[in-house]
Amino acid sequence: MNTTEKKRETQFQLTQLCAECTEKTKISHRPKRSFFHPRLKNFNRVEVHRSRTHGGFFQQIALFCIELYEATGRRYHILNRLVFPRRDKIYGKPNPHHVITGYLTFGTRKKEADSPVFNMHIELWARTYWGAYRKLNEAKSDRNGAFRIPYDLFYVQRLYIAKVWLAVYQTGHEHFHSNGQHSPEYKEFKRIKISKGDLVGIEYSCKQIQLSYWEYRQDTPIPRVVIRHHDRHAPDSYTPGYNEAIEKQFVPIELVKLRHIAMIRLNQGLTQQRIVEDYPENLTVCMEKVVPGITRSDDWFGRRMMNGMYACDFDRDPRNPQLYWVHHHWSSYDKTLHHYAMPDVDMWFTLKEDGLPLPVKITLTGPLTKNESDPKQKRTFTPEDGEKWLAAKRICRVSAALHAELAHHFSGTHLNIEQYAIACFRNLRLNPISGLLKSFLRSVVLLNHTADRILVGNGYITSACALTPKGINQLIYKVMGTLDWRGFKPMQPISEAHTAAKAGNLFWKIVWDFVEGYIDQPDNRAAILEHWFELYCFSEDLVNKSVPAFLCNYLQHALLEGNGKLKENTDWYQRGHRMDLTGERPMVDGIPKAVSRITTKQDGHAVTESDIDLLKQACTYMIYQATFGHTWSNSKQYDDIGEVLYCSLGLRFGNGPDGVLGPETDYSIAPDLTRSTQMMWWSNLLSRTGYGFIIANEDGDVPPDLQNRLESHRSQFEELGLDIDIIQSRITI
Amino acid sequence: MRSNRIPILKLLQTAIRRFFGRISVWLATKFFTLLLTIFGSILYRKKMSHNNGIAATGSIRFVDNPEFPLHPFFVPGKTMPCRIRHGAASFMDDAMRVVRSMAVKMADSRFKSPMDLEMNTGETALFWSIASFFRFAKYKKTRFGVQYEEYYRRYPAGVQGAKVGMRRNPTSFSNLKYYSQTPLLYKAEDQVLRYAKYRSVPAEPIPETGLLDEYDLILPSENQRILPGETRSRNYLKEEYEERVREAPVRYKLQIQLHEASDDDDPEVFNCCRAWDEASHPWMDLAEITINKTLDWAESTRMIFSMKNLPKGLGILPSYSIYDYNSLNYLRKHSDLARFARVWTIWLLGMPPEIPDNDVRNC
Repeated sequence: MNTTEKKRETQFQLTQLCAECTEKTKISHRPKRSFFHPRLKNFNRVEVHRSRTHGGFFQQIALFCIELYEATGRRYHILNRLVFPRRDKIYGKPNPHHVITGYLTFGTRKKEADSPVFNMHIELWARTYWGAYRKLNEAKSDRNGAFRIPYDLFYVQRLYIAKVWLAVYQTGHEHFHSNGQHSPEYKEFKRIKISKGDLVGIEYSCKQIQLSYWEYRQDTPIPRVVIRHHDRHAPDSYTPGYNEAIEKQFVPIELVKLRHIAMIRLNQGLTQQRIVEDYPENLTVCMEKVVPGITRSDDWFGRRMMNGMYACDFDRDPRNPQLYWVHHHWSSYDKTLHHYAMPDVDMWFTLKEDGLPLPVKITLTGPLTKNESDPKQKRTFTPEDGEKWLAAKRICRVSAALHAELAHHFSGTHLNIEQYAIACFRNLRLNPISGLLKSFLRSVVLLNHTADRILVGNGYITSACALTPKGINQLIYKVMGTLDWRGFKPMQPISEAHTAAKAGNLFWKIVWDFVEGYIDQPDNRAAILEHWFELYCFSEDLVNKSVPAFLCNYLQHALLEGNGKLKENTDWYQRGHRMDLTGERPMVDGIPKAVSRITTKQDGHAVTESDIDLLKQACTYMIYQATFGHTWSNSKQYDDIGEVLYCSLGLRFGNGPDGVLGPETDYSIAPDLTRSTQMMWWSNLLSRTGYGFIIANEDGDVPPDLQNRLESHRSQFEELGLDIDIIQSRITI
Repeated sequence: MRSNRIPILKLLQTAIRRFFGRISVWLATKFFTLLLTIFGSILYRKKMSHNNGIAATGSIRFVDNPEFPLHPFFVPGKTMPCRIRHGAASFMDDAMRVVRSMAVKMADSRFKSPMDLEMNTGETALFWSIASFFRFAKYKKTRFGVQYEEYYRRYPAGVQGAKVGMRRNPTSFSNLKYYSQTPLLYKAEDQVLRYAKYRSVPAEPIPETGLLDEYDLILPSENQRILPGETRSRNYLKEEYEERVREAPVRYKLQIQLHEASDDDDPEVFNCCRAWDEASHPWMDLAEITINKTLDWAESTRMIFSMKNLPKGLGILPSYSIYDYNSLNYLRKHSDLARFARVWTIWLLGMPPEIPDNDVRNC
């Protein structure tokens, strides 16, 4: 058998084994929480070290009582609605000369106090002494946030009217009718009590009503929402089904971690192997059991770099266009190099016949042992370097995993979508785009709020790699500076085997067709134009709050002329899924911003087809990133960082003479035991939500049209190795 | 085709509502009057408001050729003795930013007269019904020359009324325009139902002083304090008026504005926070008042102006609830108990002290 045939056979074996193990380790959402397991109230109770679960008998009784109380409260409200229905009927004859006025603004006190909340639905209600509700009138706030509600003074002053209040409603469009259309749903957001005696006719002014409604945080340059209390005063909430699913999936995993932490504390001989064995088997563990060493091979390395969780950006090397180049730059960010190695990584690949990449060279820049201090020391490794090559690949895997976690996953989807979510919920109410987007943008702000505590900042990543909280923030800030919807298209496939890119492009096309169909639907189009001002404000909020645009020094020199124009012969750089360098960046106070304006027009009459096209592009981008973009970087974590020795988010210098280049058997390089079990816990947690999928549509908020379109492409996705059942309908974890 | 049947049920409903409305107006008025009698008139010997003022006597002469349907009381060319009283609302300091007033009594007596009129500066008022007046009283909260902050916050119409009605440092009471604001009944000899508003303006066309300038319009309405560095005395306006009358008679024109009632009249016609359109409701001369002698503090304090002193056909309009715009005049008319209580208490306990010319300001 010649070498080529041997290679083909190995390749076939790898593909076969990968398929088998993928099927075998496919997340079945088992094991599940049993009756005797601790309880978890919601996702915000999750902690890296010891989650706030309720395991003790009395704790469980207490939690049961709380839940019973909450359920009783909910049932009381349902009963209240049944006994005292709120009829959609105006009582009395509203007199235009007797009005209640006021104006709505965002924020509290002086923060954002001049920013009006427009198109907010407002109702004036009264309640009789026997509990019946009486709707007195309704109105909408105008562009300046001002409202004016006429009411019938003599009806309000009837003896049986006990109290009067003004209710401000937030508008949602989340649930679709069977015909695929939806109507606005109003949920009470704020109630302003008005003394009945104060209503004496002519004009009663509520003056400025400040709504702490999707407020921007002032303490960070990244557009984030204010969440004062996750469970009580958050602008968004998880659905009960989500909390239930998380509890079922998560508690068994948490118990494994808790057992490991106890074993570490009692020094009961826990090892990295034992840690990996205790968690559900993942893809690499499964494959290693069948063919030891197969997941450390060059073929597997290239395959995962292209189509795994990492889904690296394969640019051609400008100095050698035959090779593909992947670079991870860590030296610009604040780090502590006491325990963890974090060199800059350059990987070069060549494409095999089957279109999959094969690593040919790796360059590591920076200290690789505890004793080194030169941050610019470069070392290059090739497949001929034996053990060192294996170690270099391991460093690359870790680097790619951390990059995928922070840049693709957390910044690229979570924080990126949060900025759109805030602008959307703040501004879109009557515009049908609200109905198009809101269901996809739900819950992300709550997850990010939790991630601030457990993942970034002083969370897991700081303790598991060399990056400091400041370094993480620097990275996030810069990555956010490269993200823009304008001109975005998924990464272009560099070969037939580039399934990650192909699946991305297929999904993009489906979403584009869906968005186009929705926006071009005549009723929707008319309403979009009618309420175009909402889109204008949405766009302005996005741009004004977006971080400054960022392009690293290297790319500035390599891609741009001195006048900022794109150079010729820059085909080596994949531009489709990156910031559009051909257009001008929007400027705010002289600073070029990362996110482009969707429109500059305030009025629907001035809107042209090109404006509509931009809107379609922006909507497609948001939906794509919240669904497919997040699913890809999130669900594959279980496959690619579910084995501590294979890959983690950080490697220590170790105690050996070669530092981080030591073999896998040197456990002083791998994360310590605590970090190892936490790593496994993370990868399982993130991949095991089991809730919020487009096809399953548990909450009934996925547009049926999108479901149908996706279903009709099931086989095409299967050919690309993607099960459409796992594509999330929003960022769920 | 519309039914010709009389909507008996609706009429009955209206009648019942009006009946209970009238009871509520009566109760509210009595209750308020009682409170005012006890806590204002008896305990402090004070007027309901406008304690700071000066009275004067003279005569009133109705115009010879009236341009409006004549009421029997307004006999052309007839001259009657009269008294007037100029006042300032709430504060005992002429230099503060307050509403000024003029009350006219068409007789030279302390109380009895065929006709009294009460007028304030500004074409519109700060409150418009008994209910709103009660709110006005509730949210008064005076402190260092600042009052009604909460009221102005809740009721923009009050702010508007304050801007229109308040005067800062006018040069004289005699060059201001005073309006009755709330309409009164006007049933002329032709028996056509009309509503009337009265005003008093200087006899000679001279510009009104004391109108709020840009600075004062920006200043919150509740801030009625004197200007920083103010040198005018607390009584400068009263002193100026005394001086002016001593030198020569002061003359005013009493004018009338009429609105012919119709079945489809908007209730807003009675709203004292809305001025009638002058193009369709022109001001017409009714009489000329000539003042030639001022009265002292004691006489001025003992005087009572009452809306009960109105001739037949020129009375107040009926009101059917405390939210009715006309209820304000009902309250004015039926709160005489408090006025008499004040005079009786003065008779028993003595005259309250005159406003001193000292440095205690903004009170």
